[in-house]
Amino acid sequence: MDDALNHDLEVFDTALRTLDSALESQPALHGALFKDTGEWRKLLTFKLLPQLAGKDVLVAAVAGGTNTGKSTVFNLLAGAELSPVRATAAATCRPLLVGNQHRFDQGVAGNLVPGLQARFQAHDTDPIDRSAAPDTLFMKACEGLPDHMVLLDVPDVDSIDLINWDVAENIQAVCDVLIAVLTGEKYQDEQVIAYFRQAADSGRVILPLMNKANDAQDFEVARAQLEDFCQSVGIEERTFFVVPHDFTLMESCDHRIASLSDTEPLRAYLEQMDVVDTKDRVYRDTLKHFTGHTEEFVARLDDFAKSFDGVSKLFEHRAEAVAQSYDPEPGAQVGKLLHNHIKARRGAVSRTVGKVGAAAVDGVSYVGRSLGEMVRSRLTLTSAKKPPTADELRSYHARELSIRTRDFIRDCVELAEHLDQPARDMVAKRFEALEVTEVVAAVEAATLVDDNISDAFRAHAEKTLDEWWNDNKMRRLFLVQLDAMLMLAPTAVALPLAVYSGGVGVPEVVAATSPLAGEFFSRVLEHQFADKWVDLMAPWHKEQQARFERALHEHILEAALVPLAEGRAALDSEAAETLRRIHTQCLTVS
Amino acid sequence: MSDSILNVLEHLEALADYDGPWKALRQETARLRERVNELQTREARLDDVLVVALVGGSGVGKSTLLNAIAGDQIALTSAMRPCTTKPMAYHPPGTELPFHEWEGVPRSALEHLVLIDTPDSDSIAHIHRERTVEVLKQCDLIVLCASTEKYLDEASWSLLRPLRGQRAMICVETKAGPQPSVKEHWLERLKDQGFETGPYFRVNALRTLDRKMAGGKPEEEEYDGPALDQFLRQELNRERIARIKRSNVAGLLQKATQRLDEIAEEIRPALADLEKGIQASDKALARESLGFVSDHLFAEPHLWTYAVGRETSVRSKGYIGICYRVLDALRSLPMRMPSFLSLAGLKNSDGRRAAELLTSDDLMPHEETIAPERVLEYYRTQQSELALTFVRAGIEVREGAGELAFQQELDRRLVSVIKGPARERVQNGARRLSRWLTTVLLDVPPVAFLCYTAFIVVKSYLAARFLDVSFLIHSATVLAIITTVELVILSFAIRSVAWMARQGSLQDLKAAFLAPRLAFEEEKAVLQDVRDNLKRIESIKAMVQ
Repeated sequence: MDDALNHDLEVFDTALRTLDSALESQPALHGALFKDTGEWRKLLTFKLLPQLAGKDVLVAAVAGGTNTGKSTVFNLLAGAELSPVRATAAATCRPLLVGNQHRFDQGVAGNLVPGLQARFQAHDTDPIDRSAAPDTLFMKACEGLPDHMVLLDVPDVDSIDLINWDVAENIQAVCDVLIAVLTGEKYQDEQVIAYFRQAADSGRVILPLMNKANDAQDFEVARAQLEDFCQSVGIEERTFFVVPHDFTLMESCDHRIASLSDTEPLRAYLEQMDVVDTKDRVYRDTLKHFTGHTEEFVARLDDFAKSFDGVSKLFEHRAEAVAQSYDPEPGAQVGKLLHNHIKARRGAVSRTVGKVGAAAVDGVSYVGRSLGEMVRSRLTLTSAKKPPTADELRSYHARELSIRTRDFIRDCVELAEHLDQPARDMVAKRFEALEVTEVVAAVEAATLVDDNISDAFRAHAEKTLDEWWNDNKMRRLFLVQLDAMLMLAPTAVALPLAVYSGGVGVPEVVAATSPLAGEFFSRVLEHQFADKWVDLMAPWHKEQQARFERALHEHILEAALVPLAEGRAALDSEAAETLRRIHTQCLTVS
Repeated sequence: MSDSILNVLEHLEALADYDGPWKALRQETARLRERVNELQTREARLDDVLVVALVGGSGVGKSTLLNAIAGDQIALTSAMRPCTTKPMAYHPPGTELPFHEWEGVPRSALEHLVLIDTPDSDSIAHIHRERTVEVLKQCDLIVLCASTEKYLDEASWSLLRPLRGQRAMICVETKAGPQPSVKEHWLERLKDQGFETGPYFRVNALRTLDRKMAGGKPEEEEYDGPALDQFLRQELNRERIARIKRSNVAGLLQKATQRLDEIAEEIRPALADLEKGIQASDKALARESLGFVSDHLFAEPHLWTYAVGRETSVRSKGYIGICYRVLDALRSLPMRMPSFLSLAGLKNSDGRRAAELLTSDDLMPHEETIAPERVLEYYRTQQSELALTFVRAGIEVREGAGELAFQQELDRRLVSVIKGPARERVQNGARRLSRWLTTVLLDVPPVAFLCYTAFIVVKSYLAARFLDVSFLIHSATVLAIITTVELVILSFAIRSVAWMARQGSLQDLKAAFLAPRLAFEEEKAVLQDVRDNLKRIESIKAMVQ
């Protein structure tokens, strides 16, 4: 089972790294997704993965606030002056590991703590050298130590050198036992408490030690203070140790650190701990703690994916609404098309009659229109409206589109500022950086593909008409019959009358003018109702609007929402799926 | 000094009241208001007592230090952490404290000083930290206390960082003993992070307290304890206190100005673009309006002929004049018809409205607009472009208000030209055409012909001869021809007058449209507002420096 688990964790780690590097190009998303994940990622790197490799060695670390005497305690514990002691605060800034020769060799080879860069401590002052890489681990051999134990000296957890905190957290993940070095001043400090609470939560064994303690009345004050500390951190098993204040290091390096809880001194206590049992317990608790956090992380993955979808949808809806508000004008008469269509399908007789009528109607309407124009211009003091030329129509459309596009961009900029994080950081800047003039020109070009809008519309409308004509047999029949009736009925009635009366009179006039009347009525009827019978505008409208929407998508949204799409892809990637799957598996195991 | 500070404060206050369209500045006002309030209270308290706060981590011995300074057990001390839970003020009797929320011990012999013992800044009791922050807001001088263990703790430093440069600070190393001093390391790190500190004292407060309680002389083992006493008692005199307070105020001012300056720098590049954009839009709009109006509305010759004709017919006299009047009445009949009888679309024609303005005495009716739709559309294009630029620069512009204003302004200008010089030209032309001289000149041929006909009639009557019917028909035809020719001449005269009136009015219209303040008033006002505030920020900066 352990092997399987270890394999799973390895896969998890790889997937996590893949996701991490995939999102490197997007600092906003990366920051939000991996926020506060340092702790459990360290547990994974330093504890869960390498633990199975070094099962038989207890790792004890000496940790605490700055200048509380961690290095002093460390030296006492090791029985030799190994770690440099300084009077100034925040001196130790890189960890130092000591073990016997066997463990030292193992460590220098990189097999003991695989996550850190093991380095042989060449100089005494190496651990206080700030220039070393943060993941450096200095090593030193110390013959007095048993084979099943190594000791670690840790930098402080509360000084203004924040990098020290990070290093200390690495060691927290690495170790099994943490010796909390406290002093009368520094046992209720928030940073210190937080550090040990975190360690306790992930199952580390914590041994509180009061340094520089007042030995009056059998360390009464120190006991009370240690009790307080355990209360704050939440430690159940209370085994206390103490170093009195009047102790001086130089006198006795092999001094044993005394216990306040009727146990052996600290060194012996550590040596007698059951390595396998302790490590196993720590490992279980770590795994439990770890899965608790990965749960949050996996939930966060899903949350972000959902939020990104929401954001994309929001913008898409806006684009759709903007496109809907675009109401293009065709510039060509809609009714004429239906009339022409029917005209082309007339029978021989009605075609002849229609032709005569059409010529008459056109002639009359030409005269009438000219007269009308003359009168109108006098009356209204303006010339008649001429139908727009192709260029005018196009520029009218271009203007309509540019207003809408600009308004849409403005909308997007404002909308993006009110998005939730991290979407806002990912998107807002990109909307602001859009080259408006170019974008507007591109949208115009993409929407108005035809130079002659009237022609484009006509082609569309005729196609629609053809389809309608083929699909609606009954209506078509009705229309053709109606047309024929209008065309022929007046002539049919007037002609026999004229023949019967046999002279020059009213029926003859009626017979002569009736083709005109028929053509006129059919023209009016078909003009008026063309768009109601067959929705000639709809397909063209729809297509223009869809084209506009697509252009908005392509030139504005796609350009600006690239990070969102990439982020979404990363959240959906195989790596993310693996993380979800393995999290579930770990949950069952723990 | 004080005057100039008041001056700066006035400006800062104006900025803190800002509720305009400049987003970045508006978001800053709350903080600015806070700073202004603080500046005002500090300014008012320049001659007041010096508030000294003892600040530091839990257990470094702040309370003990206060006891040592007082020479008495004033504050509770203990080995258990954290000990002090609430701030406590130690001050001379009879001092008016600038705050009332904290406990006070009026037993101090230190004149002009109020010492405040604060709770810790780093323990797990969060409320302590908050209380300490409160004290830090009020104090003038920070006494940063730390032992060798706690002098580099992030918890305390993070409290002090925002106050860099705004509070005077001195460092006190407590629990001095045989171990080496951390003075150099501590001061070096403080300097690295931009803190400025005053004198440094290394004290052992417990010994000093014991000695003072016992009433002995200063000892070697108290380290700088006596020096600290000396400093508080003598060196912190009125003059030095005033200097400290003034430098705190200056630091605060500097901080406030710095942030404002950053905001100003952010918007400066966008401002030039905006300016250019507005100017370009303004010009384009004026050109477009002028082009449209002169190409369409004013280009219609009917309008002007109609107007001059109407004016002439009203004034015309004599035979030809009467004939013209009848003709004009017939012609304008459709225009005078009640609206339900008039032809479709007649009411809404731009030209008709302009013609009515040219001829009627009524003012422009309110509900009607004569600004053509095409120009308004063009305005909308320009406006949407500008609005986007504004939003991207971080300035909010109200939507939609500008269009109505522009429409009204365009109407006003059109009306003022049409009602003013254009109408005058039309009326003058009509007046010239209906002068007595013109009337007489026009009437001479028909009257002469009538006289001649009358002469023939009278002569034949006297000669007792009957005239042919053909003569009468002939005469009537000649009169009709003469009248028609005269009317044609008159109408050509009217046309040429109309043409001249139109040419002149076009020039006026051009001048009227190109006059400033046609459109984008709102945007310009907003820009001016931003500019004014920028200037204010600059002047504040100059004054502070």
